[in-house]
Amino acid sequence: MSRKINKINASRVFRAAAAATAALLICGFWVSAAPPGYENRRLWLANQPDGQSSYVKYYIDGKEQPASKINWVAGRDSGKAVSLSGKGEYLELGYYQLQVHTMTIAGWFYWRGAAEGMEPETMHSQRFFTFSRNKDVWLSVMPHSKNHNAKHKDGGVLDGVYMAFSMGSGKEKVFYEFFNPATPGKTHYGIPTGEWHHIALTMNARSLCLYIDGQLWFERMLILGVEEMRNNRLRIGAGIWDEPTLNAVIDDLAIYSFAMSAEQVKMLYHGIDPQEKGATLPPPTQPSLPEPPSQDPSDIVGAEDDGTILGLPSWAVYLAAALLAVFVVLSVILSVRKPDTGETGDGKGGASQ
Amino acid sequence: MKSLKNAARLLLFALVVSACLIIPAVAASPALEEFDNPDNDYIKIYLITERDGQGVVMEKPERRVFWEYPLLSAGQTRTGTLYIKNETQNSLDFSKSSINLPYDDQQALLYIVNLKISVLSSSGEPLYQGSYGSITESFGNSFKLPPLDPGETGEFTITLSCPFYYTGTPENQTAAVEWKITPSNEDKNGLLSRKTVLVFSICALVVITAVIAAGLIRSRRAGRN
Repeated sequence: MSRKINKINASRVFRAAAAATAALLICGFWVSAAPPGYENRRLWLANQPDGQSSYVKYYIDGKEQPASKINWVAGRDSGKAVSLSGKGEYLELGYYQLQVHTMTIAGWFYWRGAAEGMEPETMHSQRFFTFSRNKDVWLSVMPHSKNHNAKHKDGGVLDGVYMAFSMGSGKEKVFYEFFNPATPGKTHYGIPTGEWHHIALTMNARSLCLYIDGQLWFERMLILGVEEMRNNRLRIGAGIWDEPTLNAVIDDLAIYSFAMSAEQVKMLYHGIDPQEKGATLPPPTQPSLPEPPSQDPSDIVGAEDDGTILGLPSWAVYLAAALLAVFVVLSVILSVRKPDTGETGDGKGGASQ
Repeated sequence: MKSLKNAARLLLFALVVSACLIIPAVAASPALEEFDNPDNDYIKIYLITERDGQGVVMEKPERRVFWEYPLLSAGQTRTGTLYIKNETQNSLDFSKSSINLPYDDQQALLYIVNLKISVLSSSGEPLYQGSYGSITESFGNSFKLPPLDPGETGEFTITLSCPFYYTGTPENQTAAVEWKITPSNEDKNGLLSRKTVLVFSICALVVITAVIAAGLIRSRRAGRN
């Protein structure tokens, strides 16, 4: 009897364990599952010519071009980076690769401002990247937007990094803008041109965060998974509007199928892959402080030789003295020496014959 | 005899030409009222004049502008203009100018080292670009304020930016950075100062007098003979 009971219990335990394992596997698969193109939860958007995901398309003026036409230039380190000229070029990732619950997009940008031959003001219309489903649902980040009519709640105006999130239309429209209050004509918060800067955006179904150079810059509670936006495209270097495209070099830009923590973003900024086993932040380093300049011997009073004589440039005094001396000698010679009269020597005429 | 005369004429000519070698420079100067605006902390002018033979440097506004007392928060960028106007009759050299950091204030140095500064000439040529903490190393070496001719105004665009990763409070960390503009008579770069011209003029006068005297002596002797 007791054996039978034991058998029944064992079978129940076995079934429960199997069910639990299956549930865990399914759950784990759902959490870690990423759309095609992701490797180790990462899809490279701009990395190396041979590491470029085939899901990333290259466009010029809205027309798809072969990936071989992408302009690869020297990157931040020894590798290569994608150069977008600001003349209609952008990269695009399609719908299926954007169907993730949480996500991170992070990479390095070397922004060059207005494109060659374009008006300087066009730099304020360029975008780092834009997620969009349609004209009502989108999320976009700009390196330096400028609109002095856009007032910040703290009193300043828009003149700097800009992020905007839009979802829905009409009364149900949700629209969030993010920028730092700038003083018109005095200050701005734009990404400096001609420098590498790290940009990262995370969505973890609880909040939307933008990080610049590893530092949390904008944050807003947003109880929304990325998949709920049902984005059709992610454009790198462009929006969905008819605007100038980005003029920048882009390096190590990737989209991740999970939302990174602030610490993980900081690791990326420090060149550490947060997905590597045991990855940690490097210890903080103190920058070397400048030393007071050592006193130059020529600055010491008394040892000064500033090239002057009695306050006059020494070369001028020497030259004047030399010219004077030459002239005085010549004058003396001319004055003292008697003019030739033909009375002596064998001067002109030769006299005595 | 003829060759001696030619040599003397040539010397005289050289002295007279040298004495007349003054090339006045003409430059536009900004309106001074702008500098006195109480809200102005982004443009500054150094007016260099001469009083009783002494050079006088006057700055407008007298208070510190943003690059002399940086208070930029993370991610912030400011741009201003520094003018230096030479109102003397001499060409001026600025190689003795200096930028002094608050070396005895470690907190301030930490903040200033983080700041990036660029100094551009009026033609947009970068004179210095880099950490504000390293500017003194370059100042006077790779980064020099160019000499100014009489009446000329130097214009320099200064851009200061604080990195996005900065997490401190500038108000608690900053300190004054002294920009000491020290003009001196330009004498090493080929331009003639007023004193130099004066020396040459005196020399020319002496020479001309000597020529006339020599001529008189010769004509008297010729008369006697």
